Amino acid sequence: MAVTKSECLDALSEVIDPELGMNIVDVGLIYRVKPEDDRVEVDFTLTSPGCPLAETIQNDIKRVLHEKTGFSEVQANLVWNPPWSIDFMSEEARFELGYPI
Amino acid sequence: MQITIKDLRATVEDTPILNGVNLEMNTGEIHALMGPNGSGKSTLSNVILGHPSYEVTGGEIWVDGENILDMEVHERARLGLFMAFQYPVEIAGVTVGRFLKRACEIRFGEEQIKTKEFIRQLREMMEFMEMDQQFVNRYLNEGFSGGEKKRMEILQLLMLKPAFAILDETDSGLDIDALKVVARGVNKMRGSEFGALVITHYQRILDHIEPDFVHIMYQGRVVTSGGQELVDALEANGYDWVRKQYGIEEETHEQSTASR
Repeated sequence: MAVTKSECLDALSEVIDPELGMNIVDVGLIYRVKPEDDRVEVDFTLTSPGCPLAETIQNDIKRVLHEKTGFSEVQANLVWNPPWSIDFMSEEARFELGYPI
Repeated sequence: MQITIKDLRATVEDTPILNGVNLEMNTGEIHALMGPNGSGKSTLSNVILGHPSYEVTGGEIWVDGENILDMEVHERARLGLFMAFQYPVEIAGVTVGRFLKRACEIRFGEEQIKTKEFIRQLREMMEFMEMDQQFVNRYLNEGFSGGEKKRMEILQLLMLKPAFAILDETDSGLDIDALKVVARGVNKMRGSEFGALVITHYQRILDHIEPDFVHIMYQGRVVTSGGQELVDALEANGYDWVRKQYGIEEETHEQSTASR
């Protein structure tokens, strides 16, 4: 059975941005998720360019998608356009970090 | 929750304010406490919650069989006691949202409060209290109008769901629309799991929150208790009537005259 986009997002929400201590989906780092047959492609960003955690997060994304959804191929692209902003955070994330909601 | 107050006496800066208060209140009941200025209504509520400026010089306060007089304020609050302040304090730097979330975490347990559900509930209650959603982000009571502060107190009540709440003149300074909203908040809580002591000078809030019991305080004592008919009698005849009816001597007046 095909894995849905929301199942992918559920899996991705287990990846924590270590800087903020919050999952990358709520932080708004996932720009695109495209599951197709036995492979999935993810576009993700980071809160700031030059963030030293790029590799860690990229590896975590691949790991959880393999483990949780069973895709044989996971492609995780780091993208910088559009640049991440606070507006991309979920309401809960903004609230938890003390930003206005 | 059962609250039993026995012969409670208290002073402020060595001035006796409470001179033997007896009162029994339970969840499921709404009590109204009326009385003229200086009769001890606010002192009673402050003493029940454990305000440090008041010294208890005699008597007892029992909550579910436990004497709470030795407890700290936060311990009393954790029993499920709540007070809506007459003059709510402003807390700069602490937003309404963060304040209420932390308070709810302490009351219900951290694992019980999920941020998403908490925000949903908070927004729902704010809508119910006809408060602008942007209040979530504002510092607690800072720059709020008098009416907004009182709504804020009731919002806290709705979120914290105490077993027993004391509303210390929550109606004072409110216009009729705000008064109705405040009353609606209290009435929403009404039920077998909630009780309240509504302290007021005026009849009008009691038209919207119909009390089960009415008590009249005079010179630091509860001089009589009854039902709605007491409110009507007060409204018609004033506090002078209470004094005459219950044979109270004007001691404060004589004292103040003598001291001049």
